Amino acid sequence: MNRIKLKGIILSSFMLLTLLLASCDGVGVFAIVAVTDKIDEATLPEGISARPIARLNEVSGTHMFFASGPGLWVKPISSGSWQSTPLIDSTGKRWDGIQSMGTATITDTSDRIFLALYRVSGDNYTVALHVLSNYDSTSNRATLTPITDASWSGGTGGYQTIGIFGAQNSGDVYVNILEHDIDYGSIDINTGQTGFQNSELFRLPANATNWSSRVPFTSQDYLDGSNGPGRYVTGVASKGTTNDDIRITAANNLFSTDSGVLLNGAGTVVGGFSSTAAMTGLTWLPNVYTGEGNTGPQGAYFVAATALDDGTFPIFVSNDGTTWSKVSGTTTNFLSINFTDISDTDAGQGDDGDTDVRLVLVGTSSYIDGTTYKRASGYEELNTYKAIADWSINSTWSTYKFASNNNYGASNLKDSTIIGMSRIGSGSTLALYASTRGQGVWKIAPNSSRRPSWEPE
Amino acid sequence: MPKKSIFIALSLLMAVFATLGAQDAPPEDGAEALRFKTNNRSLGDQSFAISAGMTAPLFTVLLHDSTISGFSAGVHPTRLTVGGFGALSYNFYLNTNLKVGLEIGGSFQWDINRNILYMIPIVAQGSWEFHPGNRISIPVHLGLGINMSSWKENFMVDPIIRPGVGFSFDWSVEWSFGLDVRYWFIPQLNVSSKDQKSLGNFMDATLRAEYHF
Repeated sequence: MNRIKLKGIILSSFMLLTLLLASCDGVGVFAIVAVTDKIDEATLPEGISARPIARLNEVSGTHMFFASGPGLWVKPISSGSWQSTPLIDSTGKRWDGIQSMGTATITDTSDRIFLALYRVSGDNYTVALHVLSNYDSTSNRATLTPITDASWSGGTGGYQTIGIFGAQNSGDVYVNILEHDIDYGSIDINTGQTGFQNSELFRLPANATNWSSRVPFTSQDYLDGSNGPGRYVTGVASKGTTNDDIRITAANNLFSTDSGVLLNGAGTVVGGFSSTAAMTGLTWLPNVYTGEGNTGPQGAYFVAATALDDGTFPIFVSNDGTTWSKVSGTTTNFLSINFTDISDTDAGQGDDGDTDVRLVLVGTSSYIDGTTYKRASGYEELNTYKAIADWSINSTWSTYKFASNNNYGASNLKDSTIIGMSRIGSGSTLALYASTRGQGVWKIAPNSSRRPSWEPE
Repeated sequence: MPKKSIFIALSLLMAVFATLGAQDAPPEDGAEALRFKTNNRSLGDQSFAISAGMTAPLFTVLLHDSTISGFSAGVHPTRLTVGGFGALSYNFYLNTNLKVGLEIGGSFQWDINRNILYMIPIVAQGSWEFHPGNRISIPVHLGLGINMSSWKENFMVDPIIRPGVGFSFDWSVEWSFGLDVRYWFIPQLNVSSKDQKSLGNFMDATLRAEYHF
């Protein structure tokens, strides 16, 4: 009897050992831990959710900004630390928070920063467009100039919210005004109940100071509920200024499987785009490398689905905005939400000896699938070296080509939602900033070396 | 933080010892004690043991140059802290000196960035016990099994070889208490990148309470 027990124990152990070892081919934890550098503490308080970095030239130096919901944060580009600056506009009115922030690129070193600021007083709620036109570092005061006649008030029975989108190549911003039909005070963040009904989209020139400068979207049918459900804009990208150069994604719910549309600048649905899932991260990257043997870089549109399509959250890419390819290698584990071209940098072309690496970084987001929390994974690498139809994404960070894997794998950046990435500077001073949800801002210098390290900013 | 955890674990174990000692008085000295050689066990005897103590990183051997980090192949510090370790085991005596068993344990340590490395070894262990006295045993262990590692969201299963030596005092026929020191050898070879192949080297030192039946 005892011999049988003993044999059973030995046999069970052996089977367990065999099964577990056979199923594992992963990350060499001991090696990575042994060669990982100490990552310094960030200067931001823990838990700050940073939106993409924008920059501003002004008389006393060049500063970077990001919005964090209730706060506007600022830091000199060259040194110093992040600090919050009060939301007091140029008329002396104090605002409670930033609903959205969008930038129009003015020059290579400066953005025009548009902010939708909101304030709540009792049952009254107001949101208004402003431009961040100057910053005085001595007094730590940003000059927040209201856009004339761009203020919406409500609260009881309905209210408006504003989404601002910088379109990469047009020099304008796009402003989406969303209508809600419930009391502002009854918004339920946990259930996502905001009373959203429909929206309108406007183009605002970068130098606009008055809401009257707005140009309404040619056709609002897919947004205002005239054609299908009311939808709001989830992304805007443009490779030029004509309607056919502009692409807009909209849906009635961020995780909708059937209300997503891809529109051109005239408000017409773009043919040849098969998915009806809600989309996010729509981007035009003008200098992305597109194909082995090509004589030079071309631009490409990127967009990602927030709903499963053929079992994954797909990424779609296109050179012309009409013929779209689905990138292979995507995953069901997290959402892709933004795209940043680093294919022209030293580190974005992989290790020494690589001749077939031209990278775009794909920021990921956590999400809740029913009751299951799905953790984000920092970013993934999308190699654009081959022809666009053959692009694939690498989601195994231990084989990434861009940064030091050991440093990245040990960082909090790797587990975080990357809300946006921003390129600041050029040449040897080029810095890439990753803004995260809850883990602050991270910085890397992609032209400093092959395999640079990420540092908390 | 690690020191505090170890202190608490050791304190708890000592409290268990004290409680058990108060419940089971030692047998009388003299002729009565000679009639019962307390650690004289035989085929079919079994035991359960609980252990708690500390685990210490020794060194990591990189098997290849790390092109990313610039580290060369060879011996390197682990960059892990001392941590805690606890285990439960079941043992079966084949004769008075040899017992075999299965142990499941758990350990935790911090890396240089305060990320926690958890390890769960499941080890089939053979122990040869020398008996220099009626109540004293010197076990020499050899364990073989698997080690599950979890660091951040990464999970690995590797083989583990764990030799060791200990000391046991038989408080009664049922209860013995002791100390074990064991060396953990964990080759981490089944990884996706050649740069990450390594040999992990650790040790543990634990206090043990063992119930024989």
